Amino acid sequence: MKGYRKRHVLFRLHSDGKVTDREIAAAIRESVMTLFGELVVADSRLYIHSFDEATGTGILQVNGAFLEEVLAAAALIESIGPSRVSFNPQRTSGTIRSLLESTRSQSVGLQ
Amino acid sequence: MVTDLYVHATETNVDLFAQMASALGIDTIAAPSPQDADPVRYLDRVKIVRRVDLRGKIISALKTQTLQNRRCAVILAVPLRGVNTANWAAEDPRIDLLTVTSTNREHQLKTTTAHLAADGDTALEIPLRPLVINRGLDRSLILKAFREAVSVALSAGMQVVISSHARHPLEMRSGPAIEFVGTILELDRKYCRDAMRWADNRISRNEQRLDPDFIAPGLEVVRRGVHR
Repeated sequence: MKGYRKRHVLFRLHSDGKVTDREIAAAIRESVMTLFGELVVADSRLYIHSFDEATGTGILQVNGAFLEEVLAAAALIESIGPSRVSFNPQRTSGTIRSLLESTRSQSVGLQ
Repeated sequence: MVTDLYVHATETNVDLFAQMASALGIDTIAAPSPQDADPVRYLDRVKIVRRVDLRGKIISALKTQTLQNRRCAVILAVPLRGVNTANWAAEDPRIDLLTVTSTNREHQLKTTTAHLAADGDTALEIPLRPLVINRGLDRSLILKAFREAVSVALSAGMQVVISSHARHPLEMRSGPAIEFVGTILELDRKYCRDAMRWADNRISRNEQRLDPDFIAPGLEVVRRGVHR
């Protein structure tokens, strides 16, 4: 199978309640599904690498070919469970290391 | 500079919108402030400018509202309804935005209107909220209407801007989020960034027009004479 280019996205999820990484991944997949269909969900290879519930900051991994679709769908999520949310993509990078290096100067607490 | 040209803030919750805008990196928001409030003010280092949506159904009503509001509002918007009112608004340099408010075919942007708007530098405003709060077939119809309007506007050279139309602070979206949403409307990310710059420039231009000494672009009262 042909390889794909991974992209990592640093994001901040603003919400008025507690949200877990599994709920975020499920909500983004559902939004991608309703907007673009099953094929894009399958090929997007969406995965939440880390998410800090305290700060709402996390990193998601996605197939680079579907980066725009996934982030457009994530931006259109209104709520996750009972919590209203606003998804804010902050930075995109090829590797987690370069993402962390570029954000270290901004003192973002990521695991 | 990131600008959101419409949030539905009221005097009781405008501070919450300003906090959210600050958290999302938004520098300027336009909101329907009351007549007695300053047309330009700052909260949490976020600039809040007054926007007025003109609701007249006939041209004479729109003209009256424009005269009443042009010196006290920074942004004037007209919803896309009838062809006559849309064409008048597109041509009038005091009107900043033509807003898509309906999926009704009668209320869609016409090519003639788009050409007039391109000449008059009036932008097409796409509200984000209907895409955020709707699901399924409703959202499909809205997406179809928005994509058609954007296509007509771009082919005529008319400026397109996306604003949140948020009624709750968490319905606001950051600049990068709006760029990605723009891609599903066939607007590339650079275009969306440029559109925010257009919005910022438009606000700066209109702020100058609020000055009582302003007469026309390049013409202002430098010193007032004394009546004898």
